[in-house]
Amino acid sequence: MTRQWTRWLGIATIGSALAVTLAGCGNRTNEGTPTQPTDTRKEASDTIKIGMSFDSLLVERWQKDRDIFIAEAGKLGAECVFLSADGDARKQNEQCDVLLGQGIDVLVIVPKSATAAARAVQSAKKQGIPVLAYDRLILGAEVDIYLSFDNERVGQMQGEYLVGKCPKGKYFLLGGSPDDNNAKLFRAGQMKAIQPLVDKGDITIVGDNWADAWSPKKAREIAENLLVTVGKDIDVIVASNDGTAGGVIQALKAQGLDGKVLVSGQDADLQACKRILAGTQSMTVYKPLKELATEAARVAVKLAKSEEVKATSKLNNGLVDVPSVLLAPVSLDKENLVDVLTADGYYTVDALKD
Amino acid sequence: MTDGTPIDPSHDPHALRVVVTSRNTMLLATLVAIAIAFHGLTVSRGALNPFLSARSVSTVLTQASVIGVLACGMTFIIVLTHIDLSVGSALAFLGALAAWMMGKPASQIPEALAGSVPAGLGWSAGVVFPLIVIIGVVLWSLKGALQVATGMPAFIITLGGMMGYRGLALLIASRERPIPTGNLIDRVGTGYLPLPVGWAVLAAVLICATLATVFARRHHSPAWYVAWMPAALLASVVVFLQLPHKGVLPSSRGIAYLTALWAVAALALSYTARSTVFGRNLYATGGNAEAAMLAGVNVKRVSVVAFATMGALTALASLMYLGQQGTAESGAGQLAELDAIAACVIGGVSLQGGRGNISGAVLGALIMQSLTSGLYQCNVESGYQFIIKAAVLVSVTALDHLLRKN
Repeated sequence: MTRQWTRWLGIATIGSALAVTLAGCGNRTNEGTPTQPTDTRKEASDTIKIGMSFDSLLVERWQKDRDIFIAEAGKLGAECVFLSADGDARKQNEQCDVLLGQGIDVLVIVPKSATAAARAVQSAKKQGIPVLAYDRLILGAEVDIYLSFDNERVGQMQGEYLVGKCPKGKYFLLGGSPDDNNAKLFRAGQMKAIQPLVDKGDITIVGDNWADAWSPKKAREIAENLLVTVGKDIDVIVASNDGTAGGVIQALKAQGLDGKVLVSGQDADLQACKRILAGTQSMTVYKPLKELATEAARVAVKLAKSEEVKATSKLNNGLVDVPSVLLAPVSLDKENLVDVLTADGYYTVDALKD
Repeated sequence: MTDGTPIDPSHDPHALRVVVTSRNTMLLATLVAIAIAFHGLTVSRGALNPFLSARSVSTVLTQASVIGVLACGMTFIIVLTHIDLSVGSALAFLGALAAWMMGKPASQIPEALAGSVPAGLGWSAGVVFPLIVIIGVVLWSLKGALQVATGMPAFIITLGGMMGYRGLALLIASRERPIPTGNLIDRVGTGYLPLPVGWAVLAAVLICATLATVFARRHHSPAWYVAWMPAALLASVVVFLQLPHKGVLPSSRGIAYLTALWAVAALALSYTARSTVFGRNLYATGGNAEAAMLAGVNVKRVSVVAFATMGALTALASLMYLGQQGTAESGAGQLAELDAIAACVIGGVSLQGGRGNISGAVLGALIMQSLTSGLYQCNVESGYQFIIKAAVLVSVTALDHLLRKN
């Protein structure tokens, strides 16, 4: 009797799994999947095809990047094929190969790993496809152009804001993902502002660490353990983005220190903006994504047509000097946040005050 | 101990010696050694609260809770020679599901916001909590049933779960889903047991230990220390955390809800393993399934119940994690399944099945978390952390194998 019920349960499981799978297949075809793979470039149609490979869509901002980019490319008559690697560098290279097999005219990459993505660039180069590194530089490969904000400037803005509010005190440096080239640039920028005061003896760095994969959980654990070792004796935690700032503030909250310790951030995530308005996070650095994504779409189309692209500077990536377009970020705090973001159409007042 | 029964010193004539030389004593010694080493290091670094301060102990116990709960369930699975790779992804999936259920419904979100805030169902945490646990039990029962019906390796079934749950988590929480602050799950994740409750727990522990001693005497197995050693340990931790300490806020004094939930889960499972028919059947099946079947054990039902237990605990862990983090994210719980398995293995749960107990898994989880937290407190990068944890995992297990051979 009992054998019977386990068997029936088993059959029910298989049945329902199959049903779910079939239903899933019937309902939608993956938007990212191409219809017909072509191995030769551009035959009949003139439509430009842009392959987009993003590290992940987990952080809110990347979805905005994607949407604005695709909309602008559409206006210019280009078609986009988008894939997200869900934070997996290996998967990203596989996805780039898939995109390259689909006869794309230009490849846009937000690399998970600055170095691992070099493989994808090499594959693209073999096929003569130009590569645009979007927001994060790819190291050790022939990238055609790099579009981003001035990331060292982002770090510097965080540092300048914090030393402005707290010129004397104890600082903890919480970097981003150690395999993300930008994380290093943010730290370099932060130190530009902080180091002079450390040398003067006004600021003490009580420690530093890095949150793997920009993980908010890692950031929380690091902050929890920091608070164990220093107690309330901490004035500033230099977090490099809003996600890790969120983890830090969760740890501060548990000790009743939220709002008492200055915490920086970056990206103007909705949750972070609300924290800034509530006073638990001190600032964020807003990078007008609309500008970046729009510009990137235009540049991508130009690359596809083999037209010339004007770069504002050159950045060495260890192999070549990559022509780069670097846009200026904006520092936001309680005072100017609502004005700047609503004027830009980034959030509505309702969204921020909800 | 080759017949697959758990080590139960109360039936051994040389019980005291068995206790002293047991795996758990060795683990406890390892834990104490690690703690003392970190205490020295943190004191020398001038930490305000060194490693063995109440603040730090409380932090370690809280941070170990989620993996600890998973490790308790994983013990049952591994005792049956199975493995469950799906629990890490399930943390993300069930957490996302709970956050979706508790999120504001679309009708309550202002129109202007519709694009930027993910809508939910607006259910209260009091409903969502048990519902998620039920969903966990159902999903894992189905996995267990699939295993016993087909004889497929659980490795494959749960590998499927690992990928499938991650996919579902990505669909539900493609953007972060914050949970309403101040609700049940948020409080569970960040709050502490009221002090009077903590003292009541202490009293209960002492009373139970006394009763166990009296009861054991009556049954001719005078192993009073078997009951008293863990009780004394537990009681001293409770007292340590409940007393006021320098640098500890009144609001974060005592035992975190997360730690309390872990303790309840561990005690319940430990009791089940040691003192129930199911527990005996579990170890008999894990040690030798055919012999157990011949002896009249319904081995299939044992498997399904073990998986259902894992499901309930995974669901509990996912809610604890959600409350702790305050936000559901699709990347949550990566490698958590392996952390749980590592805790079990360090704790002496044999991958060959039939051997290992909950207290071992609890100690294993504590050892792993002490290393993580201690290294963070000494400001060591996570690259080194993995290496040091690997060394401890391999050397503790190697030592155990050598000792058992002799």
